[in-house]
Amino acid sequence: MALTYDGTAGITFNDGSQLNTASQIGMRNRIINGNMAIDQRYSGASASPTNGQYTVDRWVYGISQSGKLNVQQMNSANSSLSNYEANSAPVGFTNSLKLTSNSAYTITSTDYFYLAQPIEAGNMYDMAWGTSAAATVTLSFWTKSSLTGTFSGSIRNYYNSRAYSFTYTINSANTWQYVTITIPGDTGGTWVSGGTGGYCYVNFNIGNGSTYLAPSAGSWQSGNYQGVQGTTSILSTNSATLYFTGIQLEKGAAATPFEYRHYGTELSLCQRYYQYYSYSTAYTGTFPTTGNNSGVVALGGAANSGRGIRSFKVQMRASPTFLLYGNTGGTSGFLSDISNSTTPAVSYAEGSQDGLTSINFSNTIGVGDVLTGQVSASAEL
Amino acid sequence: MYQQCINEHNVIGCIKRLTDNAFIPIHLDNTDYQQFKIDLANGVELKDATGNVMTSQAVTEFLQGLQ
Repeated sequence: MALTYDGTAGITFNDGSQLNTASQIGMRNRIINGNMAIDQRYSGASASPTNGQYTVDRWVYGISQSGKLNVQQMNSANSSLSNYEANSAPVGFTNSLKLTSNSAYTITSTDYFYLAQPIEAGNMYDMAWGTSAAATVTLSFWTKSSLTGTFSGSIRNYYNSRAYSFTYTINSANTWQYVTITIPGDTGGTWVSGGTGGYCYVNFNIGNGSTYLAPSAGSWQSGNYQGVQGTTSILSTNSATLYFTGIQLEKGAAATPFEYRHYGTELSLCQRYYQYYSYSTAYTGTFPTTGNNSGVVALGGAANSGRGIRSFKVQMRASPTFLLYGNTGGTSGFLSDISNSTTPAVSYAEGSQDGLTSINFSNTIGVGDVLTGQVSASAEL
Repeated sequence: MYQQCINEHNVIGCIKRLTDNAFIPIHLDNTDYQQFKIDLANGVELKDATGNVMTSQAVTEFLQGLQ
């Protein structure tokens, strides 16, 4: 039997198996945590990150002024959760990322406020951007705002020198809307061909000044653009809101249904970039200050050094930055020596993509002492 | 502000970011390390492992020796 296509069964293969929707084709979404389901840092708590810090997993926040916005992972399904809000996700989704303006701020020309996901080159190299074979991609997402108007965003290269800016229109306030944008591959510009560095950013303009906004949409331009001039910003209206979820970037000129991945799979994809070890209780943005069930981080060795025994849950993208906390949380840079009931200061911590390997202390550590505490490791792009 | 960190063999093996006591590896793919080099080039202070603020010449020589 030959491969056949028809309007009812879709594609029928030689063995009789059928494929009737593109949603059955896996791992086509180049965005990680597009459904905003993973929030390792805040566990649904409202936050006001500083410039360059992450919100929900994989979504970084670029801001030139602190305190103008709050961000929060929302949940539309479980009313017992503190981040529950009815209609905070469209049908088929449970979570979204909500941005709320804290004032009516007047944006200056050099201000920047954006939400972005950097994508690793190894996950995008087949797009062949920067060559004559550059592939077309399609960005799709769900959005909702208390404001109506024309909003904008962009895809820009990791060098911040090339960008394709786009607009989308929200016609009805407080109503979920599905947006699709097809973007021709960039045959110019500078793009890396693979590896563990960054390839591009997918940006949503929250409120950029003219310096960071393209004069027009719909073409690749040289510049560090996060959106398009003259578009709507929630920053200008106190308490205005903007939500996103179901964000998908895929190869090709058509938007397919959002690719649902198992929660564990999505979490593992996020942990390549950030992971933490804390108490068994939920982590809510700061490490807990009570409890006694944090795990062993290291064992004491000679000369006030320790050997880390933490192996990462998932191999990380790069050798990570460590934050170390004792059993009772508080200030980073300490661990708990439960053999001596002390909290020695850490003077050195080194690891690899696979775990924490070596620690030095400013205080005396006995050979064989058990050092416990809480650890975060970040290898974000 | 940053500080050099030495391991048990007295080798500078990582950098401490003093604002949050984060330990940053000397690794080109680590974005905190990339930012550290940018910050130093812009004049942000670096302390040696004993806590003394390094001179601009010492910082320059240290940067030249890094990957």
